[in-house]
Amino acid sequence: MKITKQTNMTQNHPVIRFNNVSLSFKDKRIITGFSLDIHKGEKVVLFAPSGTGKTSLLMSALGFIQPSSGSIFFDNNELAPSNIHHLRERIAFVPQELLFHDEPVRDFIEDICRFHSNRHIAYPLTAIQPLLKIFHLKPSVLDSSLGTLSGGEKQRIALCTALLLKREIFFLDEPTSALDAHLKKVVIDYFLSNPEWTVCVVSHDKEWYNHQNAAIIPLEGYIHGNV
Amino acid sequence: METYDIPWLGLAFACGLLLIPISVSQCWKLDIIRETVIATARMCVQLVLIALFLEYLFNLNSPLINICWISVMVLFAGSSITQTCKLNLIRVFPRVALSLLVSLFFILFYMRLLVIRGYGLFEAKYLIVLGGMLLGNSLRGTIVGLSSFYDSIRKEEKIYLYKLSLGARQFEALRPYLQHSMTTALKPTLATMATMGIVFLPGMMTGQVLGGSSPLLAIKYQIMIMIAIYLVITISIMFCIFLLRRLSFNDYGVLNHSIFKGSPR
Repeated sequence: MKITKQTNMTQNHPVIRFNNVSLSFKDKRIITGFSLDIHKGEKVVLFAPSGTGKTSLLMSALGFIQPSSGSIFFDNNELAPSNIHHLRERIAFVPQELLFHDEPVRDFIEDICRFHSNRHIAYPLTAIQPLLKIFHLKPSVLDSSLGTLSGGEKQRIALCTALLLKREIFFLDEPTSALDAHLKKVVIDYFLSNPEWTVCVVSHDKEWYNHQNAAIIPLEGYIHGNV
Repeated sequence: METYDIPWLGLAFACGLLLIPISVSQCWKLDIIRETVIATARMCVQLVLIALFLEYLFNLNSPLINICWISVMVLFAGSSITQTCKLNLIRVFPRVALSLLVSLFFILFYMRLLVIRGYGLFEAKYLIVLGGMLLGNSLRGTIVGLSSFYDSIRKEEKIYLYKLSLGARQFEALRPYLQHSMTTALKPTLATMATMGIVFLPGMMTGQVLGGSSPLLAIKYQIMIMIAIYLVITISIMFCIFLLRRLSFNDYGVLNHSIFKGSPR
């Protein structure tokens, strides 16, 4: 762990601000008083033992878990029902647990691109070809059923889908857990090298921490044991 | 052609046929003799009571009482749907009952206005007989549709949230579950419609023919009732899910587990 980002608030407007956020699960407190500013283009890696609620922080920023206290801001706008859809339109999320319907990859991607918010992606299947190549997937994977893919292939399909949406913010939850060392490096370099992207990663892979662009956020002071 | 009145002794002979399944149950140790006897007794008592009550209602023919009776049926149906789908009775029941009532009266009103003009809308022979038949089918379809919707969304909650996170509006993320719910509920009726007249003769038509109507008249009623059943299931499920949407999901589109009976959350 070579970089530790200051978790107190700075004066510049952050893209994402966790302001004294506490989270509970089934009446059990899992995170207390977590504050963090993430500025445009920053790459942060949340670090804590597994099962302690790191994922819950990402879920709370997506509006899937409501903080028991504290607030979350995007560009100084507090996360609220009135703006949640607009905020989700700015984020691409890659979940840890990759559950898909058993359908061809092509259908899955086309379905995502048919959402009203994603209609700007003119030719999704043309646009995804270069991404498949970057992450060492063959074009024929588009015809494979998601149920038949390995964990690593599913992970890369989820990463390609996230990139296809051309979002400015990426929430990546254990995005390289099923990849070999070479592919891990490819994914990490790709996501951490674009200065325009704001990336928030939850991962146990040391490769993320060792990257020169990553800022490590230790959560020891905020967690209350296993979820 | 007059309706042949089955003598009570004849009906007793019909009931005597039950000795065959009871004997089979005894030989094969199926352990359903008690249930068979109880179910048959219940059916007989319930039908006798309802027949006496309907006789009374038909003679009285009061619109107010007819509406009250159909409302009671709707309340029972709503309660049955809510409990069978394992949903929170207090919060869900009023919306389910309202959706049944709206779908039922929409079809009854439409049929009265444009199809069967011989009866008054609130006349006992129209409202209670047709309403009861539609409600029974609506009950079955809504149970299948709602169960399928909530079972699939609970099972695939993470996929649903993933789609929301990728920019789907709530309706877009829910679409597969809505489609699944509607097709599961409507498929049995569609299969019935597609095979009717070839594989089997439907109950309403058979009853009318035995009751003295011409087959041509009987099939007109059968066609009307099947279309009405198809419609009432469609509307009641759609309306039910629409009315339950605010209860089923929070303001962020996340499934609200407190809608389920006995849920810890």
